[in-house]
Amino acid sequence: MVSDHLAGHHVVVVDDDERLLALPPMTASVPPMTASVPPKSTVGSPRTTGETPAAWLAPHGAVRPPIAPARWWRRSSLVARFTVVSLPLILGVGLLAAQVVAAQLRSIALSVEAEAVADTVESRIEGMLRPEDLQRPLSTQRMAEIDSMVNERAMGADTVGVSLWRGDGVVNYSTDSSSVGRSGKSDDMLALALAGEPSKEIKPRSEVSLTLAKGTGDVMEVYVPLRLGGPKVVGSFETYRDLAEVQNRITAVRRAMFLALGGGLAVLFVALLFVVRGASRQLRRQSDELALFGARQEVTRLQTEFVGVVSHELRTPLTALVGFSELLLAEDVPDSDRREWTTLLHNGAQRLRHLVEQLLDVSRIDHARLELRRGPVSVAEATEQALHSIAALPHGLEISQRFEPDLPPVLADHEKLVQILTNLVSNAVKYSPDGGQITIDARRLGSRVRIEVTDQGLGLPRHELDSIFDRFHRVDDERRRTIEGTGLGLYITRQLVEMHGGTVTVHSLGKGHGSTFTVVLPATEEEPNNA
Amino acid sequence: MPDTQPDAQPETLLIAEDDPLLMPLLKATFRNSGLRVITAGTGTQALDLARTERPDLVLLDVGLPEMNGYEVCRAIKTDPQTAVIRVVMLTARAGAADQRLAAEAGADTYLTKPFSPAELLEVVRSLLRTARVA
Repeated sequence: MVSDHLAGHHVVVVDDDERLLALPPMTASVPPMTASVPPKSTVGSPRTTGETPAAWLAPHGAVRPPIAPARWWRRSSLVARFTVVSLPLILGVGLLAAQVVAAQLRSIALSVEAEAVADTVESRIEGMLRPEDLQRPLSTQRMAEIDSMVNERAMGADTVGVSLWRGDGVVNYSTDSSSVGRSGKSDDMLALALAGEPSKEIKPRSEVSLTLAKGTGDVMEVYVPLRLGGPKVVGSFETYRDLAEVQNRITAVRRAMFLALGGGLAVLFVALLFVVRGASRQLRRQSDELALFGARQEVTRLQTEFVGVVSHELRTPLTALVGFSELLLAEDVPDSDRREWTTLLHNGAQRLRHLVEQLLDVSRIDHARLELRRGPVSVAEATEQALHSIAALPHGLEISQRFEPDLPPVLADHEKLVQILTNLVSNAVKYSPDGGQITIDARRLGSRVRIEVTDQGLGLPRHELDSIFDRFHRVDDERRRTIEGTGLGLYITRQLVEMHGGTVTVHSLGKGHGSTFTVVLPATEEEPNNA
Repeated sequence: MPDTQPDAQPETLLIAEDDPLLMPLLKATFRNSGLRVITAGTGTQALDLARTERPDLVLLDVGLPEMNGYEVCRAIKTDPQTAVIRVVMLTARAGAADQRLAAEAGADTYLTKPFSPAELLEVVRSLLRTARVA
């Protein structure tokens, strides 16, 4: 079995300067952590050494900015999203909770108040009353007695009036004397009290039927059933409480509660915000790491692909070299065979040389080590040299030139222009297996010169037109498979043209209809020096 | 040194290779081997010849047009009529992947380019020897 010297090794070749020149994908650098998407500016200059893998894949601006104005949500940070969602939620829930708690507080406070009133009535008033006080209208004297008793024992700070109800639902005594004799039969709360159940009702001050002594707030009417020692309810003692003070207290408690709750929620929100921000950062870090990992994998993939392509392209001519030289050395070979084998050996060597030259070109281009010596160059002369370097034309293929008279020279590196034209013309020859006409047409286009190389060969499907200049790209179809190539020629051509400030484009009427490559280069008025 | 095969038909070798440099090399390698050499330039042609000519051994390049070498090998090895044919794959890249692919396709062995003609000749001869014994 043949040992394999090349597999898994980085391919390194020596360039003219005798310095080691690593071939591009081996050194394609990984983008920095933060730039998971390469900034557009670096994509625009694919010849920098710090090239990103994305640029490697498609060095001609295939990395596009995000399409369509994405919605705010998709663009905004996790923290912003969290704020937008959680702030109304926290505020809403907080307010609701505060309202519920406040309502509960109020109801508890009022119940306590009512119970205190009932206690006062039971302990201080009830004992002083006599059954006849609740049976018939009071004498003026008794009225005065009850008046002083009430003032002395029941009229605390918040009690703004009292009424004494008889068992038949008529006011027998009141701090508002005009109310005496009034019937309260339709009053549900009174009915409840007369049935033995203490009751209370809160009313706005304006709805109270009694003229009240003082106070400003709402009024709570507390009905306490009176039994006066007997088994039956014989009347009710009604106390009017001014709620201003209670309400003040409730408001104060409520405010304190709102403050505490609000503060708590604010602290909670800020804490959550920090948590989310931390999580978001960690997430970003992880996604950066992932992107970096992806980029590394991409570099690895490109390296693998590069090694694959190069090793395949290297191995075939190398096999011919090794094989034919061995055959030539080892055997007593007839002259006719010797001549044929030597020719084939030479062809293999040429293929190898061509590959190495292309790889060196790619390497120089990608490391920005290719220098142009620009000057005025005659297109006709460069074309002549390009045609000269192309070996004998296959049968049935013709090349014609159509140059505009007085075509100005282009501002270019002579050698590189020859290389560009050689690449295009040899491609046209290579992909015209059935022969036909190849036309080289050059004309002035304002301050530029347009050179077109048109063939009647295999042509290109529309979807290939964009990628044909990509590194290693080869059009895959049946008829092309037997045509050898590295997929580097057009890549180099485009890089060279663009270094000249020119453009190269391709048109094809489709598969089987030939193709036209158009190079536009800056013209110059200077005369080419033939030195 | 040509194989000595008294009283026998010469064994047939099918070379399937599309490269304009390697086909002449392979033909030159076997020109004095005593084998009858037939050639194919595409995968489908190789499979056709394998079925009609029943060669004793096929030298199969991996990168053939129309049908690649692995596909051709698999087709030869799964057809009972042709399964007995020995197959040597010629791969362009070394490595575990190609070795595995060649094994999976049922190839008897494989050689990685660049190989030496003498080595190839030896591999082919030893395979044919074992085929005769079997």
